[in-house]
Amino acid sequence: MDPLSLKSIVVFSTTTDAMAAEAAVREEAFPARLIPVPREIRASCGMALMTEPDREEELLSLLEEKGVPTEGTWQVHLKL
Amino acid sequence: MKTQLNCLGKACPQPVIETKAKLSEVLPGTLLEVSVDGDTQVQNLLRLAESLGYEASSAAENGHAVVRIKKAENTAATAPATQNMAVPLPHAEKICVLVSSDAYGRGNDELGHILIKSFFFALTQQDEKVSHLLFINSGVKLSSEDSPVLEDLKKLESGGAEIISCGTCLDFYQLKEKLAIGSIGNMYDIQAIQLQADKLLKI
Repeated sequence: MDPLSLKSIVVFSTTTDAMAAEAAVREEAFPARLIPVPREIRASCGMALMTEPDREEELLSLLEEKGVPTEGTWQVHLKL
Repeated sequence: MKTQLNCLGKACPQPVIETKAKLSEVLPGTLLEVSVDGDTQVQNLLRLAESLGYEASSAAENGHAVVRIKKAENTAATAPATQNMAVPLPHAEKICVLVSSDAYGRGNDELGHILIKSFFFALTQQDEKVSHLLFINSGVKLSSEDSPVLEDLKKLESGGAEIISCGTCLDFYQLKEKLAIGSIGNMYDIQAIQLQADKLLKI
């Protein structure tokens, strides 16, 4: 069994928003990565940003600053 | 008995083809000495010997490399290629993923780059364990330095996946010195693994 770790997941309502969000975190070298929305979450377009739970607030502020709309945040356990 | 084969100045996969042919000609117990230029050819010949179940070694001599392969005495004891190529896995099923591009799907490449990252992340989350990851054409950008999916590949490798990138392709994209994970393979390796796979995902 692979070990699981808790991650914060930010979801978006469109793929374009998810791609804009990825470009924003890459530009700022923010530790977040694009992943397919985990199956536990039944929402959004299919792409999400994943970060450490303690960086979630920071990530949301960054996306707001860059004008990227988000649809919600979740915390899930992933094999990492 | 000792036989020599000069493959100096010959590029991959020529030394492998000639060595394979020579090995089938010579008598069991013969030591074949193949002279080649570089490390890629050495690795490919060692891999060939391993796949045939023959003992092999390599050494640098007079400014080039020499690979010595001993044809097994008893050919009946020769292991089939599959047993030597595969890494030990907790299950018998061989699941092979052939990655032929650094973008997933046709259409928009920007979307394709996002999807490929998504693909590899999802692969690390599945219960099924991949046994082989093969990278060809622009897919080799994913197994080289600056790959956006290197982290996922490391996880898949530690989970038992063998990662092989096409040498011709690395050379074409000038990434041979930048391979970041796995080994370099030729068409024979890449094709044999697909032929022997229980499941093949081609992306």
